[in-house]
Amino acid sequence: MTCDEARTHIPFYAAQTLSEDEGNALVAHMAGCPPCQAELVEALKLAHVLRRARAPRLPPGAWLPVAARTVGLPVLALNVGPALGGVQIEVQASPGRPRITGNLAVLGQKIPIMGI
Amino acid sequence: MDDRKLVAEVADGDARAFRELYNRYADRVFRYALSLLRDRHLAEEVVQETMVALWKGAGRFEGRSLVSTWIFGIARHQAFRLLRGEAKGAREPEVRDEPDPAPGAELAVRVRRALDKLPPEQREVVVLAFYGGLSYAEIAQVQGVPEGTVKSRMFHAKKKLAEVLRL
Repeated sequence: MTCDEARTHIPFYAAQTLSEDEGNALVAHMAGCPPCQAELVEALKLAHVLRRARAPRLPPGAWLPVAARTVGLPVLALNVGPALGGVQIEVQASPGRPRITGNLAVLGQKIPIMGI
Repeated sequence: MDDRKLVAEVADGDARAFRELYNRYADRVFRYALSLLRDRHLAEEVVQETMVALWKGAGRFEGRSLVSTWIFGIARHQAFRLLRGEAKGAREPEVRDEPDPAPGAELAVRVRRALDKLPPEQREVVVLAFYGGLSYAEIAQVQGVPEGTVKSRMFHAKKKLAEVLRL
């Protein structure tokens, strides 16, 4: 591996997206090449900063409209516990309008008690 | 379970497999879309459209590419549709520096500003590699350019970022 090849691979090594074989070849080259080692240090610092910077994340509710347009899974399940007789309330997202159902849990069985 | 098996199960209508793929990719697609559009709401829209396209198109996925490049390719297409104003209710992207009190926010703003100084195609490579976890070969497929172009873009982006962030 030449220094030019190594330097184009180094950022991907720092990003941990280089294949194992390419990573091994790169490490073998760098073992005897101080300039490329310096490049690696710079790339690793960059990777560290990019990781430390709080990467933007989707808001928690982002799954809801996706579920509503696709699988229609229950998206919210509230188990209110024995104080209210073990009532479990589920909100169902579906391609139509949201559906809210309530079940009473008795001896492991779900008994429907409401549906809106 | 690997991504290909999950896509096969999604093609059979398996909702759990779909949720698993969503969990694996939604945030990564969001970061990628955000880097292209620089608008959180539009980026969320890209995630939604990409995931719906995945659900509907899983049966047509032939496995000729990796699942990751397929998904990021869909996201790229959706983002460019929005940039061209083709989507329903399309609006101009907003570039905002919203105050954010969360820990790490200051560094996040510094990094975002540094990324914003890069040409778009270089920024895209950095985000796909460091936040999307894609190899240069996968990025080449997503961007539709030779692998050498991706390597060159990353090389120049790294130089610029090291300079701007004073590494």
